[in-house]
Amino acid sequence: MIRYSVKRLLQSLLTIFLIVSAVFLLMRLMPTDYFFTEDELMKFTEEMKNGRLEAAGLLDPPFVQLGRFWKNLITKGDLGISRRIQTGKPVVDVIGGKFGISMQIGLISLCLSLLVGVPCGILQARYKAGIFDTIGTGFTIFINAVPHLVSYSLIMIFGARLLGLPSLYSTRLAWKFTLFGSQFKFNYSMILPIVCLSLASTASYMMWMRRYMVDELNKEYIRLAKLKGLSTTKVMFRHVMKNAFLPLAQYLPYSILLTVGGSLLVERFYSVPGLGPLLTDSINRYDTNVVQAIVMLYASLGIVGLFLGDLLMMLIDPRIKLIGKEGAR
Amino acid sequence: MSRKRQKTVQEMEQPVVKLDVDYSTVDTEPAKERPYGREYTQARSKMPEKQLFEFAEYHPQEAERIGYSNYSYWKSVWNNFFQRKLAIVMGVVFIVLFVFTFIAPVISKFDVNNLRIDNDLAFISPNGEYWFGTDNLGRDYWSQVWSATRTSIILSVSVSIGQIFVGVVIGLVWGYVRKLDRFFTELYNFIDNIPTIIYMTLIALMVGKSTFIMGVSLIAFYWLGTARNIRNLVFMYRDREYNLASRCLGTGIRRILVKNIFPYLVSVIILRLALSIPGIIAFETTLSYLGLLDSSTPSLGILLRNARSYFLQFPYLLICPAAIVSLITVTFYLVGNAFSDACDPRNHV
Amino acid sequence: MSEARVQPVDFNARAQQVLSQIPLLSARDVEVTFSLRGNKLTAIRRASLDLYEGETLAIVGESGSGKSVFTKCFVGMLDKNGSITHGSIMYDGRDLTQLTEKDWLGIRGKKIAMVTQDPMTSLNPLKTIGKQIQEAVELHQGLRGAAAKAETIRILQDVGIAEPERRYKQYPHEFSGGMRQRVVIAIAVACRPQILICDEPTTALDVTIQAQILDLIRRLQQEQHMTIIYITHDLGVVANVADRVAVMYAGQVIEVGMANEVFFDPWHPYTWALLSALPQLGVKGEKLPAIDGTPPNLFSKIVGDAFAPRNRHALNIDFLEEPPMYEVTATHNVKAWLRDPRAPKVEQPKAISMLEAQGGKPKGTDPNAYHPHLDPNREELVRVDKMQVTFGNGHKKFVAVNDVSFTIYKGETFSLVGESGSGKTTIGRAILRVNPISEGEVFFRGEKISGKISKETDTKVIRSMQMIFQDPMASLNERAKVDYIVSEGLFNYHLYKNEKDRQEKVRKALEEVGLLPEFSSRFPHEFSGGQRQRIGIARALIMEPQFIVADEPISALDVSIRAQVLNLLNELKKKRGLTYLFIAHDLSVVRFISDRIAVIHKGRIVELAEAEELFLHPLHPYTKALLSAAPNPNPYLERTKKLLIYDPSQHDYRVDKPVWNEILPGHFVYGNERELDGYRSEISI
Repeated sequence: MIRYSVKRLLQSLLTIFLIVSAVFLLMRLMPTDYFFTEDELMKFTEEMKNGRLEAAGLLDPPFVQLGRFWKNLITKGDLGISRRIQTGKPVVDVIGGKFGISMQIGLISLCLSLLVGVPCGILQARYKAGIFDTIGTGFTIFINAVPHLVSYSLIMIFGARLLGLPSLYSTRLAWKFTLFGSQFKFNYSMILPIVCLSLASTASYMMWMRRYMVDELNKEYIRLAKLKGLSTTKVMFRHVMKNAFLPLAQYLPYSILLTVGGSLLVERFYSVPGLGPLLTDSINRYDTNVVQAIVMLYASLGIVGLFLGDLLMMLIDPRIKLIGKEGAR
Repeated sequence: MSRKRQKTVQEMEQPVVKLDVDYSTVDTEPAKERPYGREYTQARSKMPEKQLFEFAEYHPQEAERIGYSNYSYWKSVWNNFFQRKLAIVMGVVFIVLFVFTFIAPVISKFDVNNLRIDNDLAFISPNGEYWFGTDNLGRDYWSQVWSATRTSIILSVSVSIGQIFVGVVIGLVWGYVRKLDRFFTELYNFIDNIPTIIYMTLIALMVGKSTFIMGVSLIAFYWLGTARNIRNLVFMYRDREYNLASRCLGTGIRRILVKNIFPYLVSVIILRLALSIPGIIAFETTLSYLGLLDSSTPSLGILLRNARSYFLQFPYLLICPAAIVSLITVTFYLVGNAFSDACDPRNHV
Repeated sequence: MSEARVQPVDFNARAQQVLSQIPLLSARDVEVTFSLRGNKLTAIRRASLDLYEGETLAIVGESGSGKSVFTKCFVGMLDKNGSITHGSIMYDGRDLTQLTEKDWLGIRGKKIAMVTQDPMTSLNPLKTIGKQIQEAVELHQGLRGAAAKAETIRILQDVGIAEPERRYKQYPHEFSGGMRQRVVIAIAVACRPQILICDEPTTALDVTIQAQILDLIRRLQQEQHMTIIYITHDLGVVANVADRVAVMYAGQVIEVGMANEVFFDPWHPYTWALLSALPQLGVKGEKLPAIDGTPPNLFSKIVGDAFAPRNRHALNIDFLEEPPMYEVTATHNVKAWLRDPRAPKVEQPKAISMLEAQGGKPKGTDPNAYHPHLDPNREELVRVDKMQVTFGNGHKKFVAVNDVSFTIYKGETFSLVGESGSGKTTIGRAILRVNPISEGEVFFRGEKISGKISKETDTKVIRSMQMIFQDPMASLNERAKVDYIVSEGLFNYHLYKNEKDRQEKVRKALEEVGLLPEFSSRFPHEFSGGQRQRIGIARALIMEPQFIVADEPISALDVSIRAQVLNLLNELKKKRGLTYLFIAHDLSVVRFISDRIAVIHKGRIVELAEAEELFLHPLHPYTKALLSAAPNPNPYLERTKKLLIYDPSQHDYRVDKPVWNEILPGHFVYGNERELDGYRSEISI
């Protein structure tokens, strides 16, 4: 198992290396003008620009630059500085200042959707073809089919117009309350983003939980469990639920890690200053160092998440031991 | 066992019949002249009782017939599909809607390519003159919505067909040719690890934002999922006995792929085709919202984006395009799922 | 080598017991219908059956006869779309057809338990074996905690699982198929039921394991005084377990009686046909009395006796009215018009009387039969030389076939017999170049065909060697018409002059296998298993091959269909001078069809001899175990047979290396010097 894990880890590192290198080289295709801020572009002459570029090493062949990038990253943990998003600030700090808020919203909505989606899926499977199942299926179809932009807009109209919740994120809004003798603050402008974010994952947890439950219920061992004399409810609790949740559990680490990255659409929709919009912003404004860092972050989170998922399965599924899965994931 | 006492067989003065048949002389050729089936039964029903207890003629083809089932896969699929009323109704509504996108500009009072910007006319709620009201610049919303609907449908359907075509061809090869598996798998993992939005943003910046370029780049990323799905299915069918049989008969790869494997994938391909349309429409709205799509040809996504800043005051700006988008996507989703259920032989008789 | 002995049985005493009791469970006129998308399928058509305390009742029938559905009614486990639409099942003063799901909790498991067919899927993969058994112990024996665990371990030991403490903590995937079936039985036994229903519990298992499981069930029955309903399609198994037998056909019980009555004095033509078609009773080189056609389609309404269209001895009334139950003896009832006083008086077919007299020993071979391998001018067709096939690589390497050599002569049927996973199929596929071989060589008419060969040789090999597959459901392309399937080989090498010529060839091939030419425009799913297998044979024949690898061609077919296919293979062999490599696990079939037999165990051939020689003088302990385990359709012999169990660790090959030795002319055996000496002295006795 350890041997397999180490092998997988090395493979993952290689993949991350390749992805980041590829993006790095792609970014070198962009015009060098974007090395400068808008102000500098206006003021600088060609020589001044060239001098600056030369000094920053941007006129070197792309592969030399790539080598330098990895050297700096590995020896100093240095990802360069942001040139346009927050001019002059190290990229690490730019990202570090933003992921907290993304993670906060992400984790709350993940918990919410697990707490709602999984039990709903179980109930749907237990009372299959009943009224609750029909409503649940309608809900999952609607959420899955309709573009998120539409459902987010509907939620915003509902939340902002009818419930009077803030339609934009703001750090200054907070409910204060006391629990177990200590003071808590809850920023209620997070409510709508959280609801939006959890909506899609709730629907998908419902759908998959229901589907896996139904799959398991049709299996032969369920028949044997019933033949033992167990009641349907006991069969559900003792046999079906764990087996049906297993395939979902595999992707839990991945989902948890990806909350760090934030959601592009939700954060932009509610102007949440998280990591999500940073990605398109940095590309749109040609902030190459930030782009590289974000790509690296996303790729690492994804790969590490899947890796942790596989490790988790090795721990909880007795069938998987020492055997690495071959081929595509 | 029945406890009812039936009279035991009376010893009757009858010759004992030997029942052994010399099987080496039994005629295996079916005799076609004799009546069989219902005619045969009817002919027999007229017999007097004495004849009832005589040995009947033996018809080998009658024996073959009784187990015969006239099940036909595709016929069952269609029968099954047409029993799913909701999907059928939605499908019809969608077709009417699509046709209407061509009729709407004709009956509209405004030409969508020639809309006047007039701030005095901004935000007029739907009325007899402006059926869907006007937008923030005072342009007729009705003609914009229908033109956008047409653009969105054509874009998503063509992207979907394009990605399915590329995905299926590559997926078949990926699945069947063992040597290529490793390469494609690594390629897949590589591309799949970076959010598509990154590629799309890069392309939008470096190549351009036109609808055509976006369409092509959507195909370039969507085929991956299809190809992998197809590859997994090919893996499932590849070593089935009927393919071994074909290999024993010397059938080449191309014929095996086309004749033996592809027909089994048709249902999955149609399902993916149907389900990728809502996905592509959703992605298109996201791209529009992020400003990565050229706004000169309005699509439903562009309209939704434009409505973003005003819909809290003027909900109709959101409701009109949102209702149409929802209708289209839900239709494809339902029809796709209904079709895939209908294709499942377990749902057949 | 360990031995297990089976007790002889006195059927007359059993019959007296039955007659003196009132039934424990009594099903009357049960009708079960399934609704499938608007169509109604009547799976059970007013079947009646009684069960008496302490007995083993075997229900025998083909797939689709309703035997499984019928017994599912006894535990209230019908599939959701099925329902009991008529009749009653009385048990313990209650009508089981009227119970609610809540009522069932007091009966299912507690009173009536069931052992299911497929042990590989019947256990929860994520729970330990121990916990799964303990669940039943806690529920039905009222034990908790340590006491429950102790009882579980005791049961594990009782069903023959070694090291129960260690096994208790293991998961199903760590158990072999036979072991898992023991666990499934342990779960049923842990319920302490009054009635145990065994639904084909050994169908998925190898013969040697099957024999052990049957022994286990019998022992447990005696110890716990259970009443057993045993469902099977295998008449040999019936002979082994049953006190009483019920024969089902098309959703009805058509004959029921004590085992000796049903086997030796049957009165329903279907029972006759089933028994006569057993290859054990066939004469080598002659046709088996096959049953034509297929069981009826239960979607359509059945008029009269369901078996009538396939019955060579049908009366006119069989096509018009359903026969009532006639009593043959107090314990033997049969649903056939032939027992009516008005019917002609008949004598049972000869084969039936032979079953009792010879007890399933073959009538011997045709003395004039031609044995190609004994011909001085014999022609070597296929020679396999030191073949080795490995799968996987690195430390996961698995040797499927190890150092296998044999020669097949033109015109003979050479059989490979072994259990699942023995590598027999791999050998067949390796000869046809579907699986690559890692070492050794294969020759066809003296020409090397393994490894890299020229394109012409490849074409020649493909045209002269063909394969018939095991599963007729999987081996035909469902989405192509029969016409395409049969002519696929013709297309590949363009073996036809024009379209008309091709159609003519397809027509001829179909006729040769006994199918109507108009079938060519239909799809495979319109046909039954036997017909599909014949389509597969036509597809191979159209290439005009000389050599055919028949990979378990009848094991997936219904009992009544098997004889058809065996007859066809034999007929084609005679007509076309074909040579077969016949791969099988069923010894009775192999004995009927083959000239020579090779026994394969774990990828290695352990014994090879002429067919009768092998059956009369088996030498290798594995062959002996295999022969002893093969079920025999004679209740008296089957119940007194001596079961030998093969234990590979009995060979001590550390110093004395084994060799492949021709111990008698034509009789090869694998063993070391010491063992060979033993075998030699065995022969000389």
